This record gives sequence, structure tokens and C-alpha cells, in this order.
Amino acid sequence: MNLKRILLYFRLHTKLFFRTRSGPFFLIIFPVILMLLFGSIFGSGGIGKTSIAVQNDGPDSPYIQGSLAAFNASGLFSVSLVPAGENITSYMKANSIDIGVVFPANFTSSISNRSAVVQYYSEPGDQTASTLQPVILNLILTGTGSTTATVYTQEVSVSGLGKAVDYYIPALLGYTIINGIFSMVYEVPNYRKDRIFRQLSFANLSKPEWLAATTLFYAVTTLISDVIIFGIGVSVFNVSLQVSIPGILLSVVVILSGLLLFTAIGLLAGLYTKDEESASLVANTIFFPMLFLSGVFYPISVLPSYLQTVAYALPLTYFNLALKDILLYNAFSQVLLEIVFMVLAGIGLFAFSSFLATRKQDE
Amino acid sequence: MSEIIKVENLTKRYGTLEAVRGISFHVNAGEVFSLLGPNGAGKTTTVEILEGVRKRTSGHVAVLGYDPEKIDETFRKRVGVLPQDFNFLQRITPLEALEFFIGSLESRMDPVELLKTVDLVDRKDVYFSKLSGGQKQKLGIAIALSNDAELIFLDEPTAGLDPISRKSIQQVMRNLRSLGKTIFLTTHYLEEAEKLADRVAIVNHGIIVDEGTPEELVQKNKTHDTLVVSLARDHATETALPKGLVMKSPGVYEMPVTSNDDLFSVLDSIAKSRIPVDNIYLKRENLEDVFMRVVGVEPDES
Repeated sequence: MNLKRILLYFRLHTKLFFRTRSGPFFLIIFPVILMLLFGSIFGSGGIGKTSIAVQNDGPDSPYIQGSLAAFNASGLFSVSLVPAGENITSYMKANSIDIGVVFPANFTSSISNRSAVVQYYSEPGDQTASTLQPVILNLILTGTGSTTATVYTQEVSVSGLGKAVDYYIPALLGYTIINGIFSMVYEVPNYRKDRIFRQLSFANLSKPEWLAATTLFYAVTTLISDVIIFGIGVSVFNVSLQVSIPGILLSVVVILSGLLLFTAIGLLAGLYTKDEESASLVANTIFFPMLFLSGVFYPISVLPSYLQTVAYALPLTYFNLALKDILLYNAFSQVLLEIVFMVLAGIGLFAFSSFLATRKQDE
Repeated sequence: MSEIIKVENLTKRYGTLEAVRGISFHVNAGEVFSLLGPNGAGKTTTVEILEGVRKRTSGHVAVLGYDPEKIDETFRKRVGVLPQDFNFLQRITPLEALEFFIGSLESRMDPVELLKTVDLVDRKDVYFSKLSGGQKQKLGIAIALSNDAELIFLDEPTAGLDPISRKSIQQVMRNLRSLGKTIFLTTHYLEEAEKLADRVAIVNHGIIVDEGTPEELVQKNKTHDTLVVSLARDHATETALPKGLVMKSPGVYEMPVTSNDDLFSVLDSIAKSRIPVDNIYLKRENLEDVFMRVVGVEPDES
């Protein structure tokens, strides 16, 4: 393996990639579209109404009804009423609601005494919830019709609440990773058909060097796409992920491990693909079941038990689990096992693919 | 003269098909050696074995002292290859392609000078996909020269090209020859081999059926020359012509001539008959005639 040749081919590959129309689209524009789409649907960062869960632990009163009317009249909120006695935290998690307001049992009597307290439930560090807190207090005051009363909030932190869009960030990163499968499944048979590998061998570029350069290229482009997704998620949709230096570093390791594994799968599939038509068939056959069964769009727990078994046999599942552990739950203990699985499987598949590629050359 | 390529009893099987059946030949340093043969004769298989891109079934092969199945990086730095149906990355320009090969092979060649050598400098920034067939082949040759190789394999360098492009590439090959490069040329244009090659081997059904200089092959295999007589227009069907002249087309007669005595006798008869002759010449057998006779088929034009 010659690093100079690897970098030379990497630079060439990158240059030619930017000459295609689809390349920059899938690298930059597609992740932007993807994140804006998912963020708009599942985020609450100022786009559309914010959902709030409201629970009244005391008797109904004009003050409570007035507050609810003020929430609805503001046009800012979509109010979900939580039955008294139900755990509001569980309700918020189950319904992906970011803000909860509880009127305590003594609220009505307290407001009559010109000083009342409401409990305000939100994820720590949720900027949207912090911004909306004074707005909600004002609406409560307006709703009670009291000009002299004061309403205080008792803040209640709800860890692990997050937003729906938070859940999709690891999934979207996974989506960019498995695009490597598509690229390899198309590129390998085309290179074989056009005898590009033979021509590159005349430049002393061996197959392992080509693989290294190509994988490096996918690593760089995937990280660019992922930074775009992450950046839009944080800046536009205010995603509240567990961000720490070790977490980010570990996420990069997971992304690179996943890239190694999925590029190897694409390479192996590409070796058995003869033309563009069969490439499309093979790529989609691998891609879509993984996309729908690996917990990308919904939790694996909602699948029937036999499909859950299938899900745990799919490599994308481990990639998703690893990123969710890091980014959503700040839990690093399981991640090492998932990384080791992806790296070992990736190396094994790469070795097997290289062996097959050498054999096929002489057929 | 030192042998740069030495092949002994080379065989190659694809399943039950024996593409190359025990051929032996050698190529000397500084010569242009041409492997001729019809389609499927085993030319490209042989060349690819020598280039190190295909494994042999049996036999001994040495190229610049290397066994092509055990080559190292130095081999590629000493050997240039223009493969059959040369193709490359569609969005690369000729200049970029040469810069890549020069960089990867750690050569000191100047890419622009190489483009000048193959007369492609005006198209240096055009995508490969936009080049004409002849221009692509020229780039392929420039790539084969990018390592300043001492041995160059040119597999069908002019196949499918128009006459102007073919002549242009033939000129490039002449230039390489004058630089003292050893060239291994496979072609189905026999006139090209006759003009450019120092030695020729004719391969058919995986075996070498004849080998030598083009002149040697012609001399060894020719049966006769042909006297061609064209009559003036108003004497297109002259019955007083000497016996043996057979009409091939209106006003054109031909006759095989095996000795000078035959030739002088016919010419004397024509002179005495006072028939107005428009043109008269002796057509000598060339490599193509010999090839057809040795191989037993028309030279492939695919």
C-alpha cells in the first residue's frame, strides 16, 4: 500500500466527483433537503405551532379555562390536555411533546391570593422551551384576567425527553452512510465493464489502494454530509442532543466504522453485479429492507417479534443503536461492542471482496 | 541483440477452450515486433499475459527479466501499455490523466510534452468522453509513454479509426521506433505491420504458424507475382492478347508470373501485337496475400 498513490487517486476521484451533477447534489443539497424536511415535520423550532401538554391537578375554574383559551387564542400552541392523575412526563415522551404545564391543586385558590405557581416541564437546555416560558406565563396571567396577581414557575427537568427530530438525527446520519452501498454497487461493475481497473493497474494502483482511496473519499464526503445535517439540526431546529467532546469523537468513530462496513457490503454486491440495471436491483434489495427494519424511521420495538430478529441481523441496526446511545442517551458502555462488530465485519468483508476481485480478474 | 521478451511453450485455457496452445517466440531490444492473426487467434490473450494482467496456464514467460505473474512496482515503471479498446475515466482531461499516471509511476516526463508527441495538446483540457476515437487512442499511447518505458505494448492501436487518424498514430509509432523503444504491436492491419514491424509472428488458433521479417515471410510464402495489363478504353475486349492473360474487369487483364522468362515472353507478345496499352505493371505479393494464404482466412476488419 502506497500512501502517495492513495492520496493521488483520492484527489483525482474527488475532482471528478464534483464534475458530475449528482455528486454535489447528494453531498450537499440532499442532506439539506433531508434535514429541512425531517426538521419541519418532527421539530418544533419555531416552525408551526408548538405542542404543549397541560394538566390540571385541581378543580376546574374560570382561571384554568381562561388560561387554556389564551393558549389556543395565541395561535402559538397546540394544547393537549393530560387527564388528572396521569404521569405527565410519560405522556410527553409518548406523544413527543416538548413542553408541559401543570396547574397544581391549589392554583385557583392561590391566584385569588394574587400569587400562584405552575410547574413547567421541559428538557434541560431546550432553548425553545426556555424562550417560550415567559410567553406561557403571560398567557396564563391574561387568561386568569388578573392584573395584580403574579404567577411563578417551578421548573421540572425531564431528561431524555428530546424532540422527535432528535430521534431522527442518528437515523439521517445512517442514511448518508448506507449511500456508500449505492455508490459501490454502481461504480464497481461500471469500472469492470469499462476496464478501468485494468488501466489503473498500469499506473501501479493496486485494488487495495483503489479501495483505500475510494473509502477515504466516502469517509470525507459522508462526514461533510453529516456535518451539514447536524449543523442544520442544531441551528434551525434546535435539536437537543447529548453533545460532548468524547461523544463527538465516538460518533466519528461509529460513522467511520459504519462506512467501512457498508462500503465493504457495496463492494461485495458490486462484484456480483454485471450492469447498471442489475446494480439498481441489488442496491435497492439491500438498501430498503435495511432502511425500514433497522430502526431508522421508527423504533425496532414496534416491529413484530420475527422482524425484530431480522432487524438485529442487519448491520445498520448496530450503527443506529450506537449513534442513538451516544447522541440521545449519552451512554457509551454499549457502543464499544457495536463498533467492534462493525469494524470486524467490515474488515472481513473487505478481505473477502478483495479475494473475489482478484479471482474475477482472470475469468 | 538482447532478448527483452522470451516466451516458451505458453498455453492459456479458459475452461475447455484452449486460447493459446504452446507458442514460443522472442522479442529483441529496440525492435518492433508484431503479432498478427485473425480474431480469436489468441493475440490479446498472449499480450495480456505478457503485460501481467492475465495468468497463464503453463509455459515460461520472461519480460524484461520478470515473470509477469510476479511483477513488482518497478515492472510498471519500465513497461508502457496501450490495451485493446483503451478506455478511461469519462470526466478526466488528457492533461489530468497524464499527470495522474506520471505521479503514480513517479516518472519525470512532462505531460504537455507527451501531449505534443501525440499531437493532442490542443485537446488537453477536454473531457475524455468528448474526445474522438483517434484522440482517445492518442491519449492511450501518451499514457503508455508516461513512464518513459523501454518496452511498449500497443494492442490494436489503430483499430476502428479513420484513415487520417490511423496515419497520424502510425507516425507516432515511427517516432517511437526512431527513439529506440521496443514495441510489441498487435494489429489486424497487415499493411501497418508490413510498414512498421521489424519482425512478425502470425498466430492462428492459438499457435504461431510463421515468423520472420515481413520480407522473409513474403519471400518464403509467395507463389507468384501478377502481371496487370490495362488496355486503352476503345480496346477494352482485345482478343489478340497473349494466352494466359485473364480479364478481371473491363479492360483489365491479369496473369500469374513465376519467372522472369515468363514475364519477358508476355511483354514481347504484347509489344508485337501493337495493342494500345494504357498501363502495365507487376503486382508483387505482400504480407496480406501471405497472411491470407498462411491463415486461410481474410484478415479480420472488425
